Amino acid sequence: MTLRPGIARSESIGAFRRVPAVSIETNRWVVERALRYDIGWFDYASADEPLESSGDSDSLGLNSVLPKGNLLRDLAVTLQPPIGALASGSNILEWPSPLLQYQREGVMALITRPALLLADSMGLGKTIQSIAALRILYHRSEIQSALVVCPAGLVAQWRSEFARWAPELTVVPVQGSSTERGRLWRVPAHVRLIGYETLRGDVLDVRDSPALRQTLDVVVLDEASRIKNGRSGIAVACKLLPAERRWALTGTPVENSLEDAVSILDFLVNNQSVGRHRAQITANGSDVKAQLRAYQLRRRREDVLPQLPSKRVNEITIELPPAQRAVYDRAEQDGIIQLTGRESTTIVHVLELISRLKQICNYDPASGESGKLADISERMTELVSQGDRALIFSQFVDDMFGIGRLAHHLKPYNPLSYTGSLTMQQRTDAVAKFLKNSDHKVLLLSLRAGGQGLNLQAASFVFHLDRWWNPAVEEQAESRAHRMGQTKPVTIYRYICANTIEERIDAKLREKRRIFQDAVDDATLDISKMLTESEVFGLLGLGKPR
Amino acid sequence: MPVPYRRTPRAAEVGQAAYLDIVWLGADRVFYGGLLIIDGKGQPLEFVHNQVAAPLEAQLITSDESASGLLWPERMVRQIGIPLLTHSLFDACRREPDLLVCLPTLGTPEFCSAEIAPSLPFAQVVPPQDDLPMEWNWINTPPSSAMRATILSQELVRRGFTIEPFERLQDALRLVYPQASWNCLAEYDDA
Repeated sequence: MTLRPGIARSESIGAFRRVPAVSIETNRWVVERALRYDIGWFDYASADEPLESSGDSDSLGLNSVLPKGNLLRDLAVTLQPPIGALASGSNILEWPSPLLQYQREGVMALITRPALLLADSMGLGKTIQSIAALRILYHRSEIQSALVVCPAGLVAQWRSEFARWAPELTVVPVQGSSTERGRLWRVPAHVRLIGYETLRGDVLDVRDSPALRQTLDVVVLDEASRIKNGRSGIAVACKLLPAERRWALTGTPVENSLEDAVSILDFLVNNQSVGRHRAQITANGSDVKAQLRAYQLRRRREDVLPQLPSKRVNEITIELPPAQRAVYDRAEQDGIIQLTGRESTTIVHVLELISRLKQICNYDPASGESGKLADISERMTELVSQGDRALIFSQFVDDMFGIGRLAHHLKPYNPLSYTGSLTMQQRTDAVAKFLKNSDHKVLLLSLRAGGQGLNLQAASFVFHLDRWWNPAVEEQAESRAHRMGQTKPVTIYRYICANTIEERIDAKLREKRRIFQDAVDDATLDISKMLTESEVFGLLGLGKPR
Repeated sequence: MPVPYRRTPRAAEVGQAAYLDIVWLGADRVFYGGLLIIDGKGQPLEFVHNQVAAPLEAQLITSDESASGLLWPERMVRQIGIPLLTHSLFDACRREPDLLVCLPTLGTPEFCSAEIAPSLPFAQVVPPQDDLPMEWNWINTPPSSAMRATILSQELVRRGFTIEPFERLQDALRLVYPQASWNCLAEYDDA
């Protein structure tokens, strides 16, 4: 946004001269100087336009910081379209899909309240509501800088959601070496994204912390339960951040654990009458609950059920943790070298390497790291806490990378497995157990064996640990839960690891979407029906041998 | 050979509308006025404001200190003050809007047409009242259906930017003239 005062002129008319004895007095007409202001705005059709940044002290630009009460800033805010119009479907701001009514209410709450705990049930779009609120606030010139703190594995996900829901905002992930992060804290940006541990380091371990020197208008904590231990470095770092507006996002009902609530509330009220609020927060449970009611907005899925579509698909982009990334990169490089060094390379060899790389995307045996499993664990905690159950599909059934690994990882949730290695009776028993006993929170299925024919409406969350070549196969698997008799909206999570073979396969499949539309009834597992050999070789940057 | 594509009109191509509002604060004997220019999506582009102080009633002071006579009757104050202020806003404005919009409080259509006399399509928006819906009335000759002003007016009505921009304008005037007696805002009777 830019705002520059203009120049004006003045004139006056109508003076009278005093006359002795009989005098006529009057004031003159006085026309003051007209003042004019240019008000900049974002051109959404050209999102790559550089942001205006003026050194003029009378202008509002990305690098200028004008306090509230400054006339230019207040005028810029006042003259923007109303918030309701910005969030509605009247296309002032274009949204990739319409914001649902409860989401618009959530956006309004975030915008109008300086501190908010958005505790909607999982799958209701807390991320979208946060991004929409930030976008509107930027549009109204009410904020200039925001920081989103999230689990490290979700930085890529937030970035892709910003690209979709607020493409005109410059979003900078603060990652990499300390020198690189120091630079990234200084580059002009509307929004910075950072992982909790990285933030902790940059706040507590760095002298003259660049994070604390930021002028932040908004701090958003995603998965706010990360700061539930108020004495942890992460919690301390988050609470030290200077910001006028503080938003905490969590899908877990905070009232289930008052200890968790205290730390989150502490973060929210940190800027406001700290002494008074601290006294209240450390008091008994009823005080904490009262505080929560003042700061929390929570909608459950059944509250907004009439407004929900029957199926919502979420594509989760996962950043591989460092050790897993190193293993993946090495495996891909070594694999390609081997393929190119062979006398004869066939499609089978290529598919073998692709399969190996997909396995590493699921799990790194050397370090035990798995970005996907970590994310699934967090989401399972939330969905189980709200009484839901899940199906997880994988094309791999082994104990290292597939169903077996999942069963081990998700033991607290009493998982059941359904794979092709089971007899028909065993498979029937597994399904019956899952349907009858809600203590089994998750059913793990191989894509081949469990992708069709089963009625599993007891689950309302579906995860695809890894992706198959044919989206129709995935949709068929999802329809195990999303079918007649389902009483809840179904939430789907499809995982892709950033900068891996999974991302390249996804991009290629999107290119060929028209083919899959035609083949929607043909949920074939035959890869050759989906991609040509050249296309498969091309996924590894190889040309098909003659 | 260029690749053909279908162009979606951008907000700037739909046009720019200027909303004009003038407020008379009798307690101050001042007209405060503003011009807000927005694009077809309601985004603000330019804001101009000014004030004009009207003369007091003239007093004929005789040797015996009695006072009589009026040089500036109230109805003439409005007849002079509104165009004076409006034209100062027009002169200061840098953009060339495609359309000018005002409220009935500015004056009758005849007054607006004769005294303000802009050389562009000029409309008056009547807010909804009781059971009556909002009205969009052209003050001077209505533009043809193909004209930019017509398309722009339809877009503004569709998006709900008929009365709302005036609210922004009035809030902005209160911001830039905090010293004015806004709490004494009075309706100005038609002449």
